[in-house]
Amino acid sequence: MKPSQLRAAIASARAGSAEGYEALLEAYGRRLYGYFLRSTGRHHDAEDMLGELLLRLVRQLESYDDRGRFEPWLFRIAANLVRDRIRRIQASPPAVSLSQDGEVSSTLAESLAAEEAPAGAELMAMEASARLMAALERLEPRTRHMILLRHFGQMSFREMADLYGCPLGTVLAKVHRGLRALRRLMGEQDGTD
Amino acid sequence: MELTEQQFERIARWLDGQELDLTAPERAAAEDLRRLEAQTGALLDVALPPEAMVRARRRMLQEFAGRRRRTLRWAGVLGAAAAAAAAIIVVLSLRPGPPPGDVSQPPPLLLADVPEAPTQGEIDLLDKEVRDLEARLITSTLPGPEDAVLEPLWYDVLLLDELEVELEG
Repeated sequence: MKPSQLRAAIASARAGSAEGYEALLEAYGRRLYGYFLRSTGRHHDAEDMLGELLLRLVRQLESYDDRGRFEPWLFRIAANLVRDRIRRIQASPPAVSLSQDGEVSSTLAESLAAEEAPAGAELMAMEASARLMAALERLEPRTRHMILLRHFGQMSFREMADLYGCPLGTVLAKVHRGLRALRRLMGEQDGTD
Repeated sequence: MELTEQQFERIARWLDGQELDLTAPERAAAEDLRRLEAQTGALLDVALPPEAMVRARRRMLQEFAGRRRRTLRWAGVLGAAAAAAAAIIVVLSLRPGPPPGDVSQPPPLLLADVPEAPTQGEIDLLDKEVRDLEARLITSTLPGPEDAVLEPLWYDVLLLDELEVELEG
């Protein structure tokens, strides 16, 4: 979305027009969904969190300051949602699968792979996605979230340093090392590295 | 070659768009990071399933309609309050006061505190917008088995919001 279109959509939504909100959903829905999916590993959770974020958008758009960039503001809300969801999951006892003789489905990759039974060409994409999820899961959580916010939220390093309250150089070092580790982990899974 | 924290910071500022003269190792690290981001980004992207988009849109519009409805209700309450305030002013101004001085006007402070009521036109416009939105909500939904589960949940959310408003008020 061009900056002028974004400004118009925000102004329209603030003025009380549903079209403004719909334009924002059209522009950011896919990226937000991707961020939630890669953060939680579950389509169901990703959709639920996208819906929750949109409710917050309707309630909080008035508090958005036009002088700042919209994307970091939006993805900061998304990051808070992910943080809250993870805390809730950690605080609650693990779910036990009734269909697998009590085996606990514990990893994000397993959850993702178990959710759907794809057919044909989708299978390879699903496998690659599951491999990526497995590799992401092995990263240190903060590094993983920085990589995801950098990609889906298109945040600058300065914006991420402000969000996480750590030095600029530290953010870049974490992202760089995280990306290299991700490639290495995926290579290991492929057996090519 | 291992870079220092200071060098990482310079690379970050350069990648954020600041004009800096990077050293060769700094530039190599910056290019490496860009390459890794591009490679990983292609893998990270996912499609948003159309049915998920429809459900998300419906949740958003329901929240929007709920807020509009509450605004409309408050406009009505405000209008009634303004009408009541005006009636009190009229009654006070007609009451016989003490003989000396000008008592035909109510105190200026009382007039200043009277809230301005929304006009009937404004109320009608808000009401029409809510009705239009509800019509769009109906046409935007794809009936599915999850509807029966989602609907009562979201009515609960809206009702909770209203309860909060009442408690605050």
